[in-house]
Amino acid sequence: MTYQMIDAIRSVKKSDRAVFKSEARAWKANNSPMSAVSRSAGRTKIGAAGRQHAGARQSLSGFSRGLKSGPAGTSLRIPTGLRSIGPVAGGAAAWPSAQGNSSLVDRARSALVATGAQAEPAKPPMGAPRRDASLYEAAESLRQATIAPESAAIGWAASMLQRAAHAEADRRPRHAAVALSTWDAIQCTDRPFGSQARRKVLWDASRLLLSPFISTDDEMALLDRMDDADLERVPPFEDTYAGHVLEDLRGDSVR
Amino acid sequence: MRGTSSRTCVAIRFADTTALLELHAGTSASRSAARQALQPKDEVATSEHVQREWKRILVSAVGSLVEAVDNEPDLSAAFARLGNGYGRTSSQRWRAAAMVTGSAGSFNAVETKIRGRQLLRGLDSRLRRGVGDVRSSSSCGLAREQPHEGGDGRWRIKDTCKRGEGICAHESRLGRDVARWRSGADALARHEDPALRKMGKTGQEMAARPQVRTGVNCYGRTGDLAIALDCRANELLVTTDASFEVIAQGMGFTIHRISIRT
Repeated sequence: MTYQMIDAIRSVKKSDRAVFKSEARAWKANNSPMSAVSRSAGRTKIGAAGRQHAGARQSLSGFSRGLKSGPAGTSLRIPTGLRSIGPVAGGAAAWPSAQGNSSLVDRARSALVATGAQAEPAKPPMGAPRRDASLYEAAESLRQATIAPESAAIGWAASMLQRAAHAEADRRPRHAAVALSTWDAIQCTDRPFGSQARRKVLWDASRLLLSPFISTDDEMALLDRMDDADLERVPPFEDTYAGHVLEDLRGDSVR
Repeated sequence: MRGTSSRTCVAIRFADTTALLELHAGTSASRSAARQALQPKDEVATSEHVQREWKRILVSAVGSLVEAVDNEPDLSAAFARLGNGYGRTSSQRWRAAAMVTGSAGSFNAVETKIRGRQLLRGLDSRLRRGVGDVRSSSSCGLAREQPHEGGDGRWRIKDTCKRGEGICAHESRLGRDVARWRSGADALARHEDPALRKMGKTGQEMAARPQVRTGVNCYGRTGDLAIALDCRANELLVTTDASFEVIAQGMGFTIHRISIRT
């Protein structure tokens, strides 16, 4: 899923649009060292391009914000800071469900065709972390599981977490480690969502997965809290792979 | 509380390295026993000599496994390395490896690597998840070391030192408590097991000659004595190791031995 598609999906959600606007305001407030000239320039560009895409905006408001091209080849920009802010980072915004994503993707794709925009993604700005759908899916599925811990939701969350860990192992090792630790906790613990304390820790894990950066302190603090909530992450020795290998070696005789 | 970290801890139990390994990666039975013996965490203390051993074991086992996953198509060499060494060294490495290999069934290289790196960058955190206080009476420089990954992908940690290197205060620490140290060393020197007897004789020599109290004599030959010295007379030392039964007779503390089956 390209960044533009993700932006488009987010932009068609009214609730997300409201979050987007509030994040934009927060970003502008937090970036006061930037000159007022550059800020107003950015606003002008978005405004001008927005007028060019007025038709498209009517059907899919805000969708064209993330696209690089238009009829006049105008470059549209989203502030760097906004790209790095996940829609659920504040913990308040709802994120489309897995089923909802597919229809939104279709709508976004058809809107791409309607506006004549190029399907190829623009590169994210320098220094901005890449958005990856696997992390969002993992975080969202985990969040859903903490709200309604049914077996299907838990299984889906576990599956998404493991997938995210594999997908991000090289690009974002800390995110991958958090995803895998959470997966381990779900796998190795009896009733991982069985108490309020455990659900709270797992909820916080889902939020941490959406952070642009995970420090060692944050990662270790989460693991500490998992331990405090009795969320096991290591199976008993005899059930581990190493334990099985050792068991296999036990019968060997020394010659 | 002399020579301890600033954290407030009313310790009545003292954890040895082997007990902590059982706590984190033991079998169902031994982990349950270790958990029962080492709860609540705030009433458990350990020694910086345990911290030093903890780091050495985990970096040696997990580091070599992560390196093998990165570089070697066949993991049998890595697992064979886990079995090297004498006595309990091998079983300790297997315990450490079990913390990152995940559930039985199939070995997953990516997951092992992720878990291994996470464990290596959080060695101290992992240790402190089992204990409330780490006593640093000897100010051991090796216990403060952190592992790092070299350009060749190999994880390293400084786990040896030389006499006169000046990275600890073990010589003066032992001097403050030399009578207790000597009684533990004497008990070991009288034992029928040659390995324990050798540890006891080295301990006796260290008690007599301050200049030989550091270096390999400390980290390599009398580690158990140094750990036992940090355990107070009214505390319960939790371990799986038989040598502490002998040391306890001389030093006058009680021990709780967790039974293991490897």
